[in-house]
Amino acid sequence: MAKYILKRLLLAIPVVLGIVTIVFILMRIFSPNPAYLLLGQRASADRAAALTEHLGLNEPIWKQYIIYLKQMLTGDLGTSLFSQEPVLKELLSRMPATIELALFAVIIGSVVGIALGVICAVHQNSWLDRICQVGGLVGVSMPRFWLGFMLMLAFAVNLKWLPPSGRFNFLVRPTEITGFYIIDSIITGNWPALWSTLKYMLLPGFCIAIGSIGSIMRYTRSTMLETIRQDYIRTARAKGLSERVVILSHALKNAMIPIVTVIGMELGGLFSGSVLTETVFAWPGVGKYIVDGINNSDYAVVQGGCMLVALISVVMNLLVDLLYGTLDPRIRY
Amino acid sequence: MGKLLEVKNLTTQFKVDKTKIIKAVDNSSFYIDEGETLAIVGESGSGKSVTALSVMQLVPDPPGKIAGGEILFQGKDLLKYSKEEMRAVRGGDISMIFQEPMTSLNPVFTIGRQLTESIMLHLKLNKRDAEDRAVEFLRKLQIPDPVRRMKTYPHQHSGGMRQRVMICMALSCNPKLLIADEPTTALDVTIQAQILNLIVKLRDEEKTAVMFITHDLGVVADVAHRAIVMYAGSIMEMGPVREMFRNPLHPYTQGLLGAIPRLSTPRGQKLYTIPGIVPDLSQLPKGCPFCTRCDQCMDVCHQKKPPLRRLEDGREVRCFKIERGEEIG
Repeated sequence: MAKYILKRLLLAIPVVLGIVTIVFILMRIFSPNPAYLLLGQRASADRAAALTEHLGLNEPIWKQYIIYLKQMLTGDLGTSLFSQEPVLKELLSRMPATIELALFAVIIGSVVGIALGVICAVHQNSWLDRICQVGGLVGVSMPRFWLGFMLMLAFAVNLKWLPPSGRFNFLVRPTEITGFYIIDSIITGNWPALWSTLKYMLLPGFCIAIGSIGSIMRYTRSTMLETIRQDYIRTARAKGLSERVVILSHALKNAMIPIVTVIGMELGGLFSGSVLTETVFAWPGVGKYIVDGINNSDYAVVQGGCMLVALISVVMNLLVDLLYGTLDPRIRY
Repeated sequence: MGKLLEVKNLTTQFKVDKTKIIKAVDNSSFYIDEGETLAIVGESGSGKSVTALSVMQLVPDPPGKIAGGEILFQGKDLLKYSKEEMRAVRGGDISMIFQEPMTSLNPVFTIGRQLTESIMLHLKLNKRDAEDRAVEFLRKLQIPDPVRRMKTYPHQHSGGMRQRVMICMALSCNPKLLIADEPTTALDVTIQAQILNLIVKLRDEEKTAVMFITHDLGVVADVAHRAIVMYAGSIMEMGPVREMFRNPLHPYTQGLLGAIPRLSTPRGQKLYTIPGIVPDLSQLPKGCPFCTRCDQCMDVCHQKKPPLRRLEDGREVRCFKIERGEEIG
């Protein structure tokens, strides 16, 4: 087991390195010289050239690349051009916001998605099933940025039930301990802050969750349909078990194996920041940080951000694979 | 001995598409006495498994449906039972072993959990007592090291071992009737003999009645007291195994028995086969379902379906050749 985990983590090195390399090259090919962005469009050519030189951007790309890799090995992901803060520190400070939102969305998505999927499979071809299938398809295919604006328009602008964007209200912000505001407000017993945090999370959370519900539901339905036709389900019924035990225990545990893969992939994608949703709702997470970095030609930010994204994906995949082992006794590492 | 199970005029049908309905079991009646072993014999698609599933009310619905008849178990009609009442019967008084040992156990639960589940449910035992009972039954089925096996998963066992676990599961709640649906078909021959011996031994010890479904006439001769021969959803012949084998009445039974290769068959002689194939249930001939393959077929066989007749000695047969006895359906 430990050997397997170590092997997988070692295999992650070339993946992460590859992604860093690709991002490094792309940024230098497609992003404008950050000197002009820092100085403004009307900066004199002399000053821009001086700044370019100062930033080390006149060196050949391969030299810049080696310098960056050397820094990276010492745990230094560089400094943001704009905030002048270390990228690693900024990324870490944004992680809790992203993770909190992702967990919120995926928990809603999994609970609702699995429940609906099971119900649809048990009542295959009923009107409920049909509505859910169409709804799921709509949920999956709706563009998240558009859905985000629609939710904002409906619940924040017109109904005024929920705040339109951001993560907290300055007046009732919880004291930061872990950076996860829900946990922080519970630890400190700050109930108004908890309420406010949830209200801020609801719109972006649902914006993400609607897509997750759709895909998890459809996946659950199809694997459940396959599972409930298996011989061992007939055996379970022949034992006289109640339908509830047959479906929720005997069938669902078998169906969970592929479902966990989908949830894991979903979560991996979201942990690295739901770029569109975070941008639409001005959610101060990793996704928005990377988008801002791209807009500012902030090389170190984009490179560091993408490396983190890659790392998270690799770790999430590993976790899902390890989870298989606990779900399916036939899988051992 | 009284009748334990009496099936009257059972018809089970399947909806093939919007307009087409086929009768997998057509108006069949039979009974099983307490402690008796009844074999149901037939080719694939003859309706023997559907008969068993109908008794358990496990016919997948839709597309299947029990369209008529009565299934009297200890005098009470199971078809009138509520879902809850039927669940108490399933796995309790009537239990079932299936054909596919490799897929009939749930891969993600331990053997122990799958065994104790029904014991706790039907015998109302707590977990520890249920485990003791499961171990005791595993031992009865000659499974080595039963305590350790309880913690293992199905994939760690061979087909024969899994079928023993299935039998253990079926017998651990003291059923009055065991339905064994081709329990040895998927196993290799040496294991087949072991499993059959175990079923016979436990049947005799526990005085359980058995409905034994098979297409293997050798197995029928070994285990059953009485046998039913089914063809295309209808009962063709019923009688004590000994008499039926010595003097088969229906041409189909004669054909089946004739098709068994014997050591005395001269070298080089072709083995006997029944010509043709089983008819599609949705396109049954108008008359006797067997008429297209029968070597003694008469004109009347194409006109109408022969009635089932009960002869003086209690045997039943569905053929126009037999004109003795009374018509019973």
